[in-house]
Amino acid sequence: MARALKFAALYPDHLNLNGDHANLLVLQKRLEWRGVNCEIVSVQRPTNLTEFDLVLLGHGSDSAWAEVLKIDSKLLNNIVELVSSGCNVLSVASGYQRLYELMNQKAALQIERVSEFKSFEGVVGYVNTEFDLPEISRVVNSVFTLFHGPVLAKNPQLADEIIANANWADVSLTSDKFDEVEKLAQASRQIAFEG
Amino acid sequence: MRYLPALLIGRLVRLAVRLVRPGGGSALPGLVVSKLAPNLTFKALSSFQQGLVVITGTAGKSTTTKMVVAIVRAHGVSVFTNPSTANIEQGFFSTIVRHGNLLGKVPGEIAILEMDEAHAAQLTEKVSPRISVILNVFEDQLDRFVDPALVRDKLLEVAQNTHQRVLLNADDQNCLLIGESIAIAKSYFGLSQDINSFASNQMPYAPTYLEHRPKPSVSSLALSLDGKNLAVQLDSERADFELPSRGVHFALDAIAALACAKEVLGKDFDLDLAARVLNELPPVFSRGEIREIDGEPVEFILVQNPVSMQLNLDNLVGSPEQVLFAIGRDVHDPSWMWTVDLKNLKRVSTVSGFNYADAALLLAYNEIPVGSVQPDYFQAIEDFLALPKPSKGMKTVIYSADAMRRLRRHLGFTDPEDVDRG
Repeated sequence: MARALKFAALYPDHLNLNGDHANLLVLQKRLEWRGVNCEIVSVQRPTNLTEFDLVLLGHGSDSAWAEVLKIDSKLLNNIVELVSSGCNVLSVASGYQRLYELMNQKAALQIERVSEFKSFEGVVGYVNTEFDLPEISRVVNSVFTLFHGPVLAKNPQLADEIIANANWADVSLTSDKFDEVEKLAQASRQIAFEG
Repeated sequence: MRYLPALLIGRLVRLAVRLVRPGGGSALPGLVVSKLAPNLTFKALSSFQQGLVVITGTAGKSTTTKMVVAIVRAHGVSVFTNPSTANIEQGFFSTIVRHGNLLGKVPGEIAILEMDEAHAAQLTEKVSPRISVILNVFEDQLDRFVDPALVRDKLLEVAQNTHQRVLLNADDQNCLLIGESIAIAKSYFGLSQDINSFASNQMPYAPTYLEHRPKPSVSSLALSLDGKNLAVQLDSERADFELPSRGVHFALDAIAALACAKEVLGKDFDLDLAARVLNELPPVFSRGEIREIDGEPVEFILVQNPVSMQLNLDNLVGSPEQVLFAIGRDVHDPSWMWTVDLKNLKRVSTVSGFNYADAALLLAYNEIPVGSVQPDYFQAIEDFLALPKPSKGMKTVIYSADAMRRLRRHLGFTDPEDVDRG
């Protein structure tokens, strides 16, 4: 029997302010519905992130980040190394901004705060940011997104892109369950701009 | 006389709205008057002989305010207050249009108002409250407030604008930080060690990520909670009573309300009378409200943020067989629903509301069985109420504020005060 995939939810008490970690639930269910087992592990003070098939770096307040980096000053550097070496990282909102700044060795351009639903290359989500960054960036095998919360629930095509790129399952396998959530996600994306 | 034209127009708008939608539409008259006479609220709220009392914080404002108002009225003081959820500026204007005379004068010796955190900071800059009650800071409305620390800053402004006393929650580190930063008199209310130990995780205050502050001395303490039965101690006096609804958060609301009423009434405060009032007080609508519809009891539960949704799900009695889950237009960004642990929600009969798709996605990925997803909310209400009576327990409606207002209007529940004690 194939081993279960292992996903790391980093610092869930600090970096899950808008439900970012639910993206792992979406991936887990979409894998399970295709017969692939997947375990989500809450991780604080990680010693070896390479044991995980995917690492999620979510969004937190400035004070939450200050505490995380006090506990674990090398966290961001370690994740940059993971990204560079081709591991799968999903980073969200301030997680994305902090990785971007470290990888590019420059601060992200600050703008007046934007708090609204936006669409980027067909992906719809909520941004609440003061930074001028593309809503989605793909770096090696990692995905960075400014869309906070469960962006993969609203955009199952992005979830399946991650699954397909990592070769975890055959995403052409569908069922009534996939049709049901696809229909709901489509409605959710449409409603986002009606509110 | 300067407010007369604006108030006349406001009353006409209110009349027109009520002709079109009986029992609904409280915001429009306030919006119109706020444009025509922006200083009316400050003038009206400055005119009370016994001043202004502000009750604010993330959760519990409506219930606490209703409790304080009932206790103070029972002591013979006439009170001006705002209806539940009309706690932002437009709501104040609407309430004044409704209850004031054409000169903008509002009846009552004292104003006791629940206020949204940001609006409270703004309003108290112009009208200094005599007493403020700061209930808590939870992670809520982050699409608006961004960071709970910003909410704390707003509440600090309210505290700094207060001139007699600030009452603070001793169990919330955010309130302790506010207490540290103010020079005026302050007192603390809170829950006993006993209640806090069995209710761990039930009051997930927003973490401050700062050095832990020790719990200060508490003058108003909830001693023990058994079901709905609460024992309290205010300084050296004790009392027991039954809460209107189950849940630790209602115990906190009650002790905050008692502390506030005691501060308002001073030496006239009678704890036994206050306990009798709370013993008979009906819940604020949809906070554990049970109402008979077509001869069958239905429970209504309002969820406004991750904390209230978590607390209400944790306090469900058993696992309801039939649930209507409706998330309305008021939930601008439904992301927060995904931070809630849904383990007590075993099945949902009907999903609806403006954000039905997000609500249904949440249930689908949590593998909670759903009977039907009905985008048409009024149809969903009819379908749900037509379901056969559950074999045990009662039908349960879990909904957001917009879905609540629409349902109440649809079913003809036009009086917000018309709530039975369950």
